[in-house]
Amino acid sequence: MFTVKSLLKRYRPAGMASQCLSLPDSFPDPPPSVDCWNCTIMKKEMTALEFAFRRKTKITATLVNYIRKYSEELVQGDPHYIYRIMDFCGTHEWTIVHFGLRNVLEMAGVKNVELVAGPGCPVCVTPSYYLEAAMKLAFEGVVVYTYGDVFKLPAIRRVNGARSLAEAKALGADVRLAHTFLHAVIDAKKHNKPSIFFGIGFETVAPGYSEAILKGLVPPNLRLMNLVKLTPPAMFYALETSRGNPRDYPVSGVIAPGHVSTIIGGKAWVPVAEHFGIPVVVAGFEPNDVLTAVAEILRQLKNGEHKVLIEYVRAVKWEGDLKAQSSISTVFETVDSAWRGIGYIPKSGLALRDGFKQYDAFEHFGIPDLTPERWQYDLPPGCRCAEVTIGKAKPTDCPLFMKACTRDRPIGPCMVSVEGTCAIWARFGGGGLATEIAKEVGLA
Amino acid sequence: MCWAVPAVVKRIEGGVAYIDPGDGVERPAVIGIDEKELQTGDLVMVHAGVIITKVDLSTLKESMDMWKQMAMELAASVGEDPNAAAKVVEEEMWRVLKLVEEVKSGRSEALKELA
Repeated sequence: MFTVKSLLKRYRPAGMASQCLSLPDSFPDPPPSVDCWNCTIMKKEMTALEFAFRRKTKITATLVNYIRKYSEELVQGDPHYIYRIMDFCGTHEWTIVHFGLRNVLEMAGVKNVELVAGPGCPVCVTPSYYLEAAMKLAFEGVVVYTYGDVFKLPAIRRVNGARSLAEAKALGADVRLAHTFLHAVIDAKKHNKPSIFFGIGFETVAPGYSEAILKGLVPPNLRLMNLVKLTPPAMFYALETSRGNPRDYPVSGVIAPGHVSTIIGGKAWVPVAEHFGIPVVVAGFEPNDVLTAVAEILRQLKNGEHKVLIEYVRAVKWEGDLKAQSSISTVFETVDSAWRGIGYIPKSGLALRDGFKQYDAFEHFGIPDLTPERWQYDLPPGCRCAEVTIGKAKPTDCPLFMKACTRDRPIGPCMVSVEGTCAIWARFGGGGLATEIAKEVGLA
Repeated sequence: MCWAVPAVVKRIEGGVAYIDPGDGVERPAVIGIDEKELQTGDLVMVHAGVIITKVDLSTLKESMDMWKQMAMELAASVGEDPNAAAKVVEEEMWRVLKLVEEVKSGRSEALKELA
């Protein structure tokens, strides 16, 4: 009988062990290969990491009990108050819905804590105007590169009959999917045709664009339609709005985006914590990470604290990555920027500096940039994406959700990306749906 | 936009890193962080083709300490033994921490035990 071990042993090339420098001489079977991914050391590290934050159920139970303890103590202070905790990032919302964390808290009897999705999905907040400009260029013969989740993003006005870049491609325009900016760079060098990259994103992609430009990797025929947005101003806006609505409880704590913070650092959230007097926890993306963040926020609320804490210590430093920050500020400057369905948020976007205008798609193709005067409300009738984005409404509050607007035929931008709140709820069933089903079949 | 995948740096050439996210296919990635700190074999997080951070496994102990603190506080509040509660967390994390320690120091016994 063959086992994996025996097969590996059988096909182990002679002398392979000595090719890997990280390998001790006495390494046991199965033999490692020089391929780092298949290297046993590396595999074990990855498994260890995943297990620590995903499958340790006793730790999860401790965290849930801790949350319940503080939730009960907070109920004694004010029996009717709802503590709304905003998970800013689309990936956090994905973790919460995919692993059913809202249901876990509900089943544990935590009634006064509500997890609210925030504006952390760049596909959802990119104004329709830029999408229409890109489609127009595509029909004029310019090669348009875009990320996969922008491909189906619907615009508010049709361009030559097309509502999205996917439809433009179907009608003959040259729209190409790229996983990364670098793939577009490599591909554009091959054909030398005028091209643009539809460059959406937050602080995480910005060093990718700036480093590619600074290292001279970008060919002269490829231009960047830079649409990078900044997260802290959006968080200010969302929190401010949550305070302005007398019918709702304001946001009491924030789970800050982990990977954005690898670049800008935990320090970037201090103004949020101080201005609003609420705890902010920079968290990782496994269920135990998110539960730890909720537990820490409740602990701080009970004790009247409002600090910034990094839970995602394995990836985030307090000062962030200084090299990335300097690279971004060399190439880009901070400008006011339009958010889809919301409007202009001051100092919430990046634009190429004057010295780098040769890479600017707006400059080269003569596309007038959007201004506060020219910006128009750009969501379809009935669509509540703007409110979903800033945590004022849930997807299930929208009249179109899962009726007219579905994953196959999205109407609003939140239904498109893997990080869009509506798309996540549509895929996994958010809002306590699992609990309702469990109750119906007598399991809860 | 925080969606990122863990990957291993396989080589660095001309300012571009070639990373493998686990399927054996090397992909080019822009080095968003300080290039001087990056080496072949490093575990990194890659977001839309940009290396945004190096994963530091030695910080797992900090995470464990945070959970231990919570478990101890919880136990103390209901009159249970805080040290017993801390032990539960330690036992859960023991294999993880030992593994990281062994891998870092290049010793192989722990891997043999878990293989």
